Amino acid sequence: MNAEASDLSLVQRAQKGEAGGFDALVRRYQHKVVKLVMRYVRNQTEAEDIAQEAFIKAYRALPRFRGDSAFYTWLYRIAINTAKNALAARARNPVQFDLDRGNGDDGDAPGDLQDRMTDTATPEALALTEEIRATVTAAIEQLPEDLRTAIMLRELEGLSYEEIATAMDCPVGTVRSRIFRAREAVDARLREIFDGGLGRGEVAG
Amino acid sequence: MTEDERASQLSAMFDGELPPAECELLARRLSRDEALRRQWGSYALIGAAVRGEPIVARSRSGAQADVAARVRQALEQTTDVAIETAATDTGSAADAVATAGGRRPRMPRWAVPLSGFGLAAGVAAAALLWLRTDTPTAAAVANVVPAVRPAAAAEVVVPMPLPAAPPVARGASPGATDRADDSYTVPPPVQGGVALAGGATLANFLVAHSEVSMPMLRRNALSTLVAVPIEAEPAAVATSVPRSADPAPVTTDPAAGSAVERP
Repeated sequence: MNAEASDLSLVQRAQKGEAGGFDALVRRYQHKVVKLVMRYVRNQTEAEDIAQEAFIKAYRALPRFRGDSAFYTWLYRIAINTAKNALAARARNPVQFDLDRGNGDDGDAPGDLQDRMTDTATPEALALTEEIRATVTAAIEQLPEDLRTAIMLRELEGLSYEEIATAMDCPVGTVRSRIFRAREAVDARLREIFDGGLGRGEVAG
Repeated sequence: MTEDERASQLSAMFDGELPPAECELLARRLSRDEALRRQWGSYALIGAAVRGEPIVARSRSGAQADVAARVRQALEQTTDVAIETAATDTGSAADAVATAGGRRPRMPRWAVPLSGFGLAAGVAAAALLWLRTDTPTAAAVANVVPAVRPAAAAEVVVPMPLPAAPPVARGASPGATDRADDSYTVPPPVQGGVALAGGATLANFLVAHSEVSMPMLRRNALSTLVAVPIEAEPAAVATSVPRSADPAPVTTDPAAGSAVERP
């Protein structure tokens, strides 16, 4: 069993007119799609713009999705095509692209400028990202050993529940429970920080 | 079911470890429950953070929104056009969304091949009309017919009740035989109307072709194709159809491809 069944259920909800079904799919895959698009554009802000466009294209094409392939495979192709189209548009109109991101008046080559902008364009986003990453890492380190092992085998190694059960020598139901409890603990920590004190951001979703 | 049990199900569903039947039920609830979707999104965020993937988050200041929020906002602007169910015409839903988004509506995918067929049909109709008005002259037909006539073809031309004229026979062969099976009849020309171009040869071609053509084409298209105004026909008729009051049939030698007068 894999994510295809759950994705297909959500796709069917979206195809029946429930926008929440598609929203759940976007929340699930937005990080992966941005990571994918960043193979083509190194600026995360631009990658998010392209990812947004890809999701909207996917939504428009959703009625034609028949489940012949996994949803993410289908979405992957849309995202790749959208990224390539964005690159082609940039090639057709490089001046506009440079103007959109400042300009080269200070003598920077466009490529250098883009690299520099990657690091400095969205400081708030970078700070937020680092904060979330640090919070998640710290929360996982504080988990009991069995929960930490289960969540890491699942998220980092991508093992199925059955494989994790074999590796940890425990029933599949126990694996399911451990992973759930680990997620709940990390999620609680994220909420505690972002909803309670810092007030700079909230967990995506 | 308690909240913890539901959250446990959600976690299993996120990992694709929930049975399909339970998936269906939970997906229905997930699509309608914002809090559950927030939790679902949090699971995705935790996984991305563990794997070192780019983290997409929205700031409370509003300076930055995550992709999901931006997609929701963009789609809400097109709420006038709800996505249609999969059971309905799938192309129209996508086009409707595109239209609401300010884009030019595109042709449905299923209509693309149809437009190709339509274009081809238009070209074919134009070709038919062109042929209709550009039928070869009788002399040209007379020159071409012997060269293209199949060796095994035989024709019997029934004399038409036309004004007296000497029967015409080309290349009479002593070995000619009368084969009724291969005999075709050339209809009489209509005065003041149209006549068949090419006479017996085209009649043979028409009848032979009609055996493998569609009835509609046989009745309409081909008959239109070979019909030309009567004033352009005398020469052609004179070479292939006997204009005699005496109905002496003319046969064609299958081997030599020529016509002989039958007794």
